[in-house]
Amino acid sequence: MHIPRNSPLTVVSKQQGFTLLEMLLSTGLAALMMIAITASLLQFNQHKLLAQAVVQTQSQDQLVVAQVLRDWSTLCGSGVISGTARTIGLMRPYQGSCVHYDYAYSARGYSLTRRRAGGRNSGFLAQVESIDLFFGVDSDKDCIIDQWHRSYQVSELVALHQVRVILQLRIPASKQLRAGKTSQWLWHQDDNVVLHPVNFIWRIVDVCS
Amino acid sequence: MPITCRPRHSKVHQKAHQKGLALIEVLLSLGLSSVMFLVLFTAQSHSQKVLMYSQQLHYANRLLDQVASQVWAYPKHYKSLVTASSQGDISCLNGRYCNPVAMTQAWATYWQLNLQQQLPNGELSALCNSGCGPGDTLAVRLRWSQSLAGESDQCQQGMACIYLEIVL
Repeated sequence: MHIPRNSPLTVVSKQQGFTLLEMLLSTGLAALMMIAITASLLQFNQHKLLAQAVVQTQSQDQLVVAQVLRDWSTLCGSGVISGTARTIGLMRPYQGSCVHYDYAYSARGYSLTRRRAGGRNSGFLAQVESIDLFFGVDSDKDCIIDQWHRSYQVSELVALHQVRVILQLRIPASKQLRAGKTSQWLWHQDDNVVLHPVNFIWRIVDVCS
Repeated sequence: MPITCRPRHSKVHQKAHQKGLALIEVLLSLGLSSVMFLVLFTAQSHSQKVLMYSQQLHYANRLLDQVASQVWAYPKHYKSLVTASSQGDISCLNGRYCNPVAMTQAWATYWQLNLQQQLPNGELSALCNSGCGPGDTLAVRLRWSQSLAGESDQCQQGMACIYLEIVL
């Protein structure tokens, strides 16, 4: 090639394309950034689901306890008539008269139902996986509970003081939480629900007065 | 003249602006991104701990509610109710006839078993300033290890405490 003697030399300073090292470095960095962003998004989602489940668990728990205690707060006549591990029958005032109410667990509908004497069953508590009732009775008339029975029948020989209610609530939760830090939660085998235990005691007031 | 030798007045076109990012810029942006992610993760893990603390408080409230019910049922035996005991026979709570002492011990054992599962180093205690006779106030305290709990007059750092005052 012939270069004229007085022509200026032009240095090409602009490199075209990338070197292999640059490509590898940028790909590695991009991958790292993507992993970090994806991990944080997953973490945020997990956290949101956990917060939702916790809030729902606590609010459901409080609602259920309040609802049961409010419904059973006013008794009349003989008070609690009978009970088994999954049912309870009691007398409550209704429109000026003392009426028999039956509460029973329906496994098919996962609910606790209520039925007024002569009426139909209606849903009382929803999303209940199981219920267990224990009846704290005084059998020697010293005004102190001495036995906890799985069933109860009103009688002159025993006085019912307390009812221990053990419920398992079904709290819908995302299956993504199963693998998370909340593995200590009790999950339903088939459904995507957390089984939340609710234990409380219903104190029947004025038993000994 | 060889090509490598530049003539004195020749014009060499050099670019004043560098294209792309310098190493220091890349390192700084990476450092900033890392700090940002670290802050986010820390905030989130703290928030998760707060959720767990709230669960513990919820459980503790339920437990104190049960304790209150049994204190009213056995006012003369409140001490056995809050004394950690492994001697209690849980079958008292499931059909067996038991005297008040056995019944309160059974409750104490039952709660103790649950406490160990739900609240780390959980401990129930009762404080009675006056004689704890009828009309006096009994303070039931439940405390457990919880790093988020703040220090208070009656509760040291790293322990969560809740109280329930019951009129006997």
